[in-house]
Amino acid sequence: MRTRNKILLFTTPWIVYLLVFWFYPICYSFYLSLTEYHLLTGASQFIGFDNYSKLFGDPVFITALKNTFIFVFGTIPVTTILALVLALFIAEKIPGHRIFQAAYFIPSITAMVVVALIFYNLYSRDGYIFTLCRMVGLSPPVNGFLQSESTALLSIMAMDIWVAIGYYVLIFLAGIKSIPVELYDAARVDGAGFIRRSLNVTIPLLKSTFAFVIVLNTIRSFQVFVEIFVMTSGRPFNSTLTAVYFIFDKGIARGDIGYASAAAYLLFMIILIFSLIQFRLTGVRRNS
Amino acid sequence: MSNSLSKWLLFAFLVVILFSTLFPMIYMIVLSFQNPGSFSVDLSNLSFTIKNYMTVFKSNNFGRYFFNSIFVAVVVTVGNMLLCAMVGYGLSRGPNKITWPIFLTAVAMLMIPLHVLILPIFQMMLKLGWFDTYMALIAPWLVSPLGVFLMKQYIDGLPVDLEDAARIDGAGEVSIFFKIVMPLCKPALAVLAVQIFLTTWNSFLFPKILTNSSEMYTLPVGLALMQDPRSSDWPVTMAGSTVAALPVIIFFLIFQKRITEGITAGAVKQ
Amino acid sequence: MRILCSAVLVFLACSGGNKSDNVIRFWQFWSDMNTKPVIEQIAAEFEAENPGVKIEITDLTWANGHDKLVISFAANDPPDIMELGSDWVAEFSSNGLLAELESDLPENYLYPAVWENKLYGLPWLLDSRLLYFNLDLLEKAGAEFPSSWAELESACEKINRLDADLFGFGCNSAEKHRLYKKYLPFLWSNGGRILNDEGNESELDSREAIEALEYYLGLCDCGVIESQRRLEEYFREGKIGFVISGGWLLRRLRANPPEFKYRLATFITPRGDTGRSFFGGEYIAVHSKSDKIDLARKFAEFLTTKVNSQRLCDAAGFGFPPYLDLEISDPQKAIQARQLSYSMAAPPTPLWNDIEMDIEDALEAALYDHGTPEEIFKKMSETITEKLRSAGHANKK
Repeated sequence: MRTRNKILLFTTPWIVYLLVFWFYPICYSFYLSLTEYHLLTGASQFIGFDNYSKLFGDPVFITALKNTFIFVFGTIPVTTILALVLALFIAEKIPGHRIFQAAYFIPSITAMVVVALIFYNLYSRDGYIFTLCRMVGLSPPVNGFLQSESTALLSIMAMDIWVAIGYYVLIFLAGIKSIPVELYDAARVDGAGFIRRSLNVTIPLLKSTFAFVIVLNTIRSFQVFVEIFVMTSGRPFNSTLTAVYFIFDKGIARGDIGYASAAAYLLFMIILIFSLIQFRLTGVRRNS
Repeated sequence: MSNSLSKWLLFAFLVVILFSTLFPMIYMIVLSFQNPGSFSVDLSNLSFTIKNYMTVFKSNNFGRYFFNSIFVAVVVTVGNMLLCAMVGYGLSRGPNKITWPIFLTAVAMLMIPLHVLILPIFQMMLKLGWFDTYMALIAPWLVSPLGVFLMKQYIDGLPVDLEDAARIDGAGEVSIFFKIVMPLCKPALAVLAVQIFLTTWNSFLFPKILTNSSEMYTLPVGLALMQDPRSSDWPVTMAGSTVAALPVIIFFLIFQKRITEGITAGAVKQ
Repeated sequence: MRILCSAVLVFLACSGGNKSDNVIRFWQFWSDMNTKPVIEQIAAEFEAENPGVKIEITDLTWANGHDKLVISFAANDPPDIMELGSDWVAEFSSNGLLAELESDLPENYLYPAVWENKLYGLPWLLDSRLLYFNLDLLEKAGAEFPSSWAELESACEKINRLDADLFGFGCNSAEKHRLYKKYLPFLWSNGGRILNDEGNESELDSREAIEALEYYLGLCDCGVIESQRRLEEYFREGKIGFVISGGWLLRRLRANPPEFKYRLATFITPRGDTGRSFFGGEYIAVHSKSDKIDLARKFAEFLTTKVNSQRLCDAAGFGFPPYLDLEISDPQKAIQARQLSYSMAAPPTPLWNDIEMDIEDALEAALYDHGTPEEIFKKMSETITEKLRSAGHANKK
């Protein structure tokens, strides 16, 4: 028994880390959100919940939240379904499936900054995507996709789906591989084709993989920042402003740390609630 | 027959997706070799110049960004391998009553994005005097909840007998950990290393906020700041992007199998 | 534990920067290959004149320089001497972060750096925005060279009608620190102002301001909305009738002469007199708590001598030293110099960074039709006035 307690000492790094980099910031963040704190001068003053009431009346913050939700709920279903379909296809052992799998994955190991820079160019007026749209007879926004309120956020979402797919293809493939082969064989004997096999056997068995993909993607999508920073700075007219960018802009660029902290805290609560709901709904449980 | 037809259709579909996936990357590389000042790749007037790469390294402190990126990613990766293995070992072998709640905190932290904590961490770094130093880039990332999660799960699956035998031989706990547990953890450590390295190499928000001098920038931060209308142009920006992206892609192609395992490790354990 | 501590110390030592007695840290914005060497050389000359002194130069970019400076003050690690955009001086000086300086340069060039009757920045290089016209497009569209607002707008429309890929005017998309500079010349040329004399009330809800906005939007309607960088590229490719830009565009046009004829022109008032433009200035300021404050002051004066300013301008290929008695033989440069003498800077106020963002947000809202110009500007003006009042700042003269 004494050894077991001694071994417990091995967990110290995590305990320290947990206290210093999670627990303390979470508490300190809450404290900051109750102050008026100016970055440049360092002057701070306790003002209670004023920042929060100001936030709820700030149309810009509401827009930022709205855009974040559009982003999260717009990209996740598309990414998930496309990734699933591609994974099912690749699992059919199409010639060259290893190459496909590897190639699809490349965008997700590339830094988002790089991807955003490339797409910034492609989306601009006279960029390749713009020209392609014109060639097939569509009329893209005159000033390029990122300068138009109706297309800017959608374009960034499309890019994000493009980036993320390969990663989730991999995860689905791993899930598919863990399905016992006998189940497939049974379905084959019954004469089930690819579609019926997928619908009846594969997809129902991928339930926990689904849960994993969705939870992961939700957490990731709520934090969307780099794309916005590089491509639009939240413009045009806040149509691409997301919650994390709002926090950055108010806190660092405008130096209003207290107000930004209140926004961060709200976002923190929202993500927490969403993760909990998702865990409930998707029925993920850890068996110890 | 219809089977082989549908296989070909499938194949064609996958090829189309393949093209759309690779196109932007190829575009980046090709544009990086075009004449300075061009906006995009003009297929009727292709050129090949390495001037942009020279500009990148000459006028942008790029060598330093590159070094910083590698240095930070390596230290963070090695730190995680060591510390997460320690914690995982402690959690796996310690008394269950205490370790289980600790383990749960790691799982909970997996779900909270650190992004919402940028401001307090920024403040903390200012006060500690770590702001704009390697400490700020490294310290907050040395123990990742993901690593704790992975290592605990993995060590749970290792047999205890070897450790007990060593204990009977009079080996100390520290030497048991280093001589017996660590070597057995190699596969899980590889997986963890890949995950941490990729995340650190590509991370942007924290390095952006926690550094202030270009001596401390990492590649992504340096790159994002290259969009100054007075001094930069697209081929140069793309040359910089290529420098940041290509090593990772090559690294991935070489260690594809390990990396694929690493990425999916969290998923299949459920 | 000891190992950990020493590791920390090593890290700090590695990255804390050199802070020995004779090193002056200088943050500036010139990083391109033409100008940087000149600045390094000027610094080297100063080092030679002051044995033992070492100047450590750090480059900033306009995209992130302001944030970086703010953060360096917050981190208590600012440079000893720094280059500031003219409109930033008040923000830093009003918070007691800049040291007082002395200068006998022309007052209208010092004006942006004055706060409560004290001078906190020395002008280094000044450059004003002006209009660049593509004469071939004007001719093709059958328009005379415009000599009033009405003619300018009709020329814009005519050029825009020529072809789907040709545009009358280059209108800035909402880029930080850029968009408002394009509107201000129209505001000032129309007789409007941003703030009142006391600096505690916005005047952007005035008739002049709204008229200028409506006029500016009219130009954008017959133009293309793009980033400054793309607009300049379009102009050089001969796709835009006229753009607003600084002196660096002339440098580029001369380096790679376009296939069309172009002409620089000053802004005009609605009736056609010489109009007022925005002047961007780069100012040198000294940190008030620097422990090398005298040396830093001396270096600030050294940088801004007529000769050294001129060297910077020559290397940059644009801009003028902050002196009135300049001899300019180049006719295009003479137009720039004339525009400069008719130019104004943003009013010095510590809240400028915030006000600027409010103005840009409003311009953007107007550009994207989120309400009538009048509504948008009235609301923005109220916001600004409220901010100024609650901050209780007034630039006492």
